[in-house]
Amino acid sequence: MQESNTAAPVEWKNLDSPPVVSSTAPYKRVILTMGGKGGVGKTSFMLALAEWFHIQEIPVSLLDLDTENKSRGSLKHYFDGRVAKVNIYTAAGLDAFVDHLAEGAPIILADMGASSGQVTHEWFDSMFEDVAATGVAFTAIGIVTPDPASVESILSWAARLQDRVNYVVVENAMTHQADFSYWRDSEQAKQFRAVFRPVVLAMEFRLPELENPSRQHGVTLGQIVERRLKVPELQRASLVIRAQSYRRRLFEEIDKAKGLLLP
Amino acid sequence: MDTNFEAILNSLPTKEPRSRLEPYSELITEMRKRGRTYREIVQVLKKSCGLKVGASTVNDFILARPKSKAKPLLSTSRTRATKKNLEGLTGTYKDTEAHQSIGRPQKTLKGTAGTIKELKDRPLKTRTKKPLFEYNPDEPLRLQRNQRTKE
Repeated sequence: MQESNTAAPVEWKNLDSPPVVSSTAPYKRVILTMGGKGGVGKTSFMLALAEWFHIQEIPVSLLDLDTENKSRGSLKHYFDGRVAKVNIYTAAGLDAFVDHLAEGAPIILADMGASSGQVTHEWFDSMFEDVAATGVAFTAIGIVTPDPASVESILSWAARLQDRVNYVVVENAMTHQADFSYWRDSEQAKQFRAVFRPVVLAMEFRLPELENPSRQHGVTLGQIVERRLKVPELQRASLVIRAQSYRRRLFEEIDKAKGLLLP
Repeated sequence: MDTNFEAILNSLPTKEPRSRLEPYSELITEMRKRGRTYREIVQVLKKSCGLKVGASTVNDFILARPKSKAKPLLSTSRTRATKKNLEGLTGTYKDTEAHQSIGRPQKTLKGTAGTIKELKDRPLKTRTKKPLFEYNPDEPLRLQRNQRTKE
């Protein structure tokens, strides 16, 4: 799908001079959420993805580009100190992708904000060709919920990003029996799937007694499972087991998309 | 030139040089002839003439001068190479110091003419590639429950 997959990779050692094409250096990949609709679970999925990479022992750079989401619920809230907050509303905001790749991590996880569409699309229009030519591939993560606005959001992004990225779509069941009709049965979404063949993953409904305190205290499922917390409401044995099984199933889903997540 | 124009020009008062470097023009020219860099020239002007200017100002000053004056400013080796090239015009650029020094690919004159023609004929890049996927956000999503097919 992506032209960059055929490009020779690049060594990022010295960016004062033009990147040097190398036949030995690995490819790099930027994984970004398709912002647009707020509150659909972008950050929750990115957290799980960060943990998945951690378990695989693959280093990632975490970028929080969600300037609207300042406190609880932002990526920085969960991984403070290990997340670079980036203001994309500057002339070269998304050049942070290039700079962080140059620092060495083979993968960037970028949590985009709800209103980051225009800036991101413009960056792709002006920079993609040259960045991709250095061996960087892009994967766009779209999160859909029963809300048709979440579907419209990823369709709008896809209409701008086209085949410059690979697509992973996560069906986030925000209720017990979620109805994804607008994603599964609408003409426009079907067309999107037919053209770009996204990998579709399921993210199951999380109990509020697990989801809410973990958001409140900024803890990941992994931390709950490992009982490293001093949060009483998250120490209940049943919740720990739930977190464990939830995480296991989500990781199994993420495995399905590994081809689009690894460099 | 038309005699009327000439008369007009002669009647104009002499204009002061616009650049602060004008009085040092000869010195700068000579230093460039002797292979001094702009940075070195800046240092000499500061130390010996008490003039504080930047290297880019010196560069601009040299570039702004008429070509007939600017020519001798080339470094000696480059000048020699260019002269040799012009005098010889044997049909190749190769072996000239000038080309080796700037690392350009060696091409025959015929080859250069071909390159120029090719460049002229090359169509401009168009960015109007038809999108693979189009979506109108102003239109509502159209459900197709009854036509659900295997994808």
